[in-house]
Amino acid sequence: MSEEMNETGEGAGEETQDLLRRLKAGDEKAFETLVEQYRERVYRIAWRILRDDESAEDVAQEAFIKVFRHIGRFEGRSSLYTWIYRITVNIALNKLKRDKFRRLLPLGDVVRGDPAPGADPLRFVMSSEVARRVDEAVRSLPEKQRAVFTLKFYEGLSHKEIGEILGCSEGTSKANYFHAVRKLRRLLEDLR
Amino acid sequence: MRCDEVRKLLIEYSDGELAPDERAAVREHVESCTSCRAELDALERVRVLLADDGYAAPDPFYWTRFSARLRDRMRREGLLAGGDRRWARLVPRLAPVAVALVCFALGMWAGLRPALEHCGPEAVVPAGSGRAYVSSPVISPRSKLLVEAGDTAVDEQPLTYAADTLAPEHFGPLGSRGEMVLASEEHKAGTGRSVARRVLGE
Repeated sequence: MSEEMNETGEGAGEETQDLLRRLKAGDEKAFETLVEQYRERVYRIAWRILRDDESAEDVAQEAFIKVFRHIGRFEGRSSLYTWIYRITVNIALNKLKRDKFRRLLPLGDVVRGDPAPGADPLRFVMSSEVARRVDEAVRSLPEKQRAVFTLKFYEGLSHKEIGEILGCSEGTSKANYFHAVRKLRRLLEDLR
Repeated sequence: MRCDEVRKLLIEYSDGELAPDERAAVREHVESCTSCRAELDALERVRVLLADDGYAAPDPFYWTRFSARLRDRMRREGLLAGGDRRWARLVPRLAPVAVALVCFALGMWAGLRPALEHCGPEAVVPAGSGRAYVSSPVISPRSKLLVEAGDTAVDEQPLTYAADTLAPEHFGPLGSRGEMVLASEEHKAGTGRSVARRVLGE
């Protein structure tokens, strides 16, 4: 019977401890299990911070490599998922800083494909416009606000967990989230 | 509650994170205050807009390739070169057992050879069609299949997929029609062709 999962999908008990023991012993099968368990969440967080498929994959792979290299140093003072998320967010934020002066990606990277057959073309154009505005608005958030907003709004983590991941207090996480929501509300208020 | 107090709590109210008594107080206020109600409506609208932010979850086929690329990258960086480090230490002790197993497997293979010769033909997915059917009499719901597939315009080396790592939509109705489906958005977008090169039976 599978053990009880918390809201991030990580088992809290023996199963996770066993996985950790095997990872620390250099068991590659255990690493594959870890990748399967976390790859989607790690990729999704990276994508939401960087908003680009290729960069998200780079970050996700780098995060798993870092986990593999440093699992021996993981002391279990935080949960495994908190540690993995922290590694992911740090790599993504560093990449965001490095790419700061790059040109913004063209619209084509955000709104993909053609309208589905039979779809209302006007509605498609409108939803593309909405997607473009949402993309611009999220990109305009400062790095830390973007990370907090991603973890809170899309991943549903608590401010306490976000504080552990970003190395800040619960209050700082809350303040960043409120700033982000207020800014997004201001930037998108004319959309209906 | 006053308007300025309510405004400070609206985001948490909208997130459903207020304690029951605070939540009730805010609800009571916004029901009677037009401007706080309008502010809450605006927050709710933005929440709906942000829910669809352009993120498209990759399909299961992508994850198979993701894991393959990660393994390749780790091998190139020398992280997986020795395989499982514990097993690497055991190799000298296990060598005689391995030799015996190989001999046994060769004997079994010789006995099963006629069945394997029926393994599926090469199947080609023309550009843009996104679908290939591989028929083989050895495919059954219990078959363990190994497929080499790749888009010739995208992949320099075809990737190998074990059937149990493919999602049902990539795999088709096994057994019922004796065929499997190789299909994905990536194939549709491909400018070359996708080829299922081998299907190996049990």
